[in-house]
Amino acid sequence: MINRRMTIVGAGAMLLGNPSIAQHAHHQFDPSIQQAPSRLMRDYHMPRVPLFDQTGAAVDLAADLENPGPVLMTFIFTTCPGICPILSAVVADTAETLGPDRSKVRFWSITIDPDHDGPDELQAYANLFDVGPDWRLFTGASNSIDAIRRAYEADSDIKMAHRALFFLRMEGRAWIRFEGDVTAHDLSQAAREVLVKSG
Amino acid sequence: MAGTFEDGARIYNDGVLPNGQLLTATLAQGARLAGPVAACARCHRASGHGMVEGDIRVPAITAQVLEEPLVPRRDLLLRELYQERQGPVSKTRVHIPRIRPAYANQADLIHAISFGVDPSGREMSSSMPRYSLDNAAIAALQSYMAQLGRMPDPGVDADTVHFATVLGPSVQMGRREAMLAVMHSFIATRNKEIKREFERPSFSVNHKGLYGPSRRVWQMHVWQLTGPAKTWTSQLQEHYARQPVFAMLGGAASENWDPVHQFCETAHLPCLFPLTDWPATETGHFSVYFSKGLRLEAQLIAKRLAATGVRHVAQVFGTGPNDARLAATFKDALVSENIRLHDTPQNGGALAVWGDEDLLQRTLLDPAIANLKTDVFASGSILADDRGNLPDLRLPRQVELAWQYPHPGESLTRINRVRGWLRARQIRMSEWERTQLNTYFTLDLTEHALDHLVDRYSREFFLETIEQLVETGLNPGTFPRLSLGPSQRFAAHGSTILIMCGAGLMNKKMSDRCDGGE
Repeated sequence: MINRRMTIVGAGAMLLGNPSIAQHAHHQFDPSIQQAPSRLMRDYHMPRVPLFDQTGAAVDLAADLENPGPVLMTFIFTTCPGICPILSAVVADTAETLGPDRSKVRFWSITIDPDHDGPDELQAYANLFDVGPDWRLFTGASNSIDAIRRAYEADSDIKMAHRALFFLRMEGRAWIRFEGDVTAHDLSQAAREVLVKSG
Repeated sequence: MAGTFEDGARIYNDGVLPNGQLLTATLAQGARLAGPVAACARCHRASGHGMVEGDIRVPAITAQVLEEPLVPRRDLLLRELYQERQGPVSKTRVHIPRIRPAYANQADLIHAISFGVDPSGREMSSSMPRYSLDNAAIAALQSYMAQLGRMPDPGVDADTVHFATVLGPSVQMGRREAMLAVMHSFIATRNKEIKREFERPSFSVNHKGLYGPSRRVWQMHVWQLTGPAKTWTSQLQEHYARQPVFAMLGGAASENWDPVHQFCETAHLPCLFPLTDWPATETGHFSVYFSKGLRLEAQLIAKRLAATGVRHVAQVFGTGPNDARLAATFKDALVSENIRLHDTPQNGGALAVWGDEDLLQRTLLDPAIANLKTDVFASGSILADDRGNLPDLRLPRQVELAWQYPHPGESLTRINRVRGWLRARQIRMSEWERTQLNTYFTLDLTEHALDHLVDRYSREFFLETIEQLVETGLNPGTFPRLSLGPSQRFAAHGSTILIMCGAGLMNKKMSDRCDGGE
């Protein structure tokens, strides 16, 4: 007779006897196994709010998006410990993978910590990665940043609850929203599709 | 040649190899990291206790954790599952038991950091980079990690965690009383709850008995400083020698906080949220502040003048305790904006008035100034009382205030709750409201942080936990926003310039003027 006690003992024995089997049973959540990233097609409308880039120059991203072409955008903050270094390293890798095509892609990062991240902080962060001189990082008033985050479904109540997201603008308001184990291959492929389509 | 401990510290904390080159690493996706962003401390933190960010869970790699086999711990798991913020995927992964033997030797370390495999043969998360280190670097790193995060830190014994609070000699009696009343009452309540957890460990509602062994009763030591500031360092050292403390909480001084700041840096003592208008000018590692104080107001106004292109700036200051120092600070702030300070105000220029409402009124009524078309600026902190309220001024003209507090009329979600707490304990002193709210905040934050620490009494881990918790809705309504991040040490944000017209503050945009002029 299989009763609850036997089941528990059995499970425990399996755990003690061979931990890796017990753990492998959950492999779809195993952090060591690369998952295909999620790719969602979305319509995102960039709010027209005043921002500054890492040189202190004023920018209007909504206006800039009226110029067609792929845009690879990430949300970061300069004191971010874990997620942002990975995001920015993948962006750097994407730029390298694109080769000469990289000049046709805009690389943008927007801080989610505008209270701390001014132009100087953004420049110092940019210097830690090898994305290239065309990488632009933006900050602004906190309600401007909040508006953008909400528009891109990328807000969080606290910074450390932010998500690892990459946004690729295809055309107009059509963006692809990537999340998960995103690679330079995924992003550069998607960017190239945009370039091919636009001729 | 065997690597040194210092070399290991540089690899771990700064991402620099013994030969001076940058540490490099590869991510699973093929992307690369170098230097500070490749350093172990970036994710595993200076404490070695790791952190949770979104869906990434970075485990602890302190010496004490690595040298033991890893088995599930009910107390930590309960916190992770039910009491802590994490992303949805990370939360699911908490259910996977993490079990491995101890890290026994250098080969185990190499397997981990070069191949991402732990001593049980299990592969690590794809977020863990892979490092290729030579023998010297591995040996150096190993010698550093063999000492990483050994606990407990000073100030914690078998049943008590010791805290200190510092009071400068010139702090007003009322303020001192207001602050200490909050501390006394909060800690008495906390200790009652903690003792309850000790008393009935086997009958444990909400599993509180699990945490009994990690709990310590709080003891607060009041370090009253006397005499001139240059004698404070030795007084602090004496106090500390008598009873080392785990951290310094709150405290107040009217003059220079620098000696206390320096003491905290030297003693590696977390010093949280003192009440001071003059925090140290340099950002330290161990001292955490609300705002940059009066210096912030001087800089705010100087930046505004630079942005609007005003070139002719003059100032007057009064005889209050902070007035002269604020004037000197403003002069420095103007220098860094390339604006020269003039002796007398002029048409089309600006005038800063550093002093109380008396000085402001006299200055504005002074015929030499009353007839000038000049922008007038003042310090919100000096004019406001400890309730954050401005005096009822009848101003003959517009004055622009540097303002660090919540906007008048803003709804402050937590303030009534804390007021209620104060009233219920009959310690509410409303003329010292900011002092009491800020003190309550510091203790509240400390309680949440110690809950997170469980039995991991590490000062660095305490600081790292504070960095995250400040943002989580504990703001008692004394500043528009409070938040920190890794290595950030000034929590208050949202300072602005308010316009005062006639009899009160105007909810106007900066482009509007009271008198309708240009």
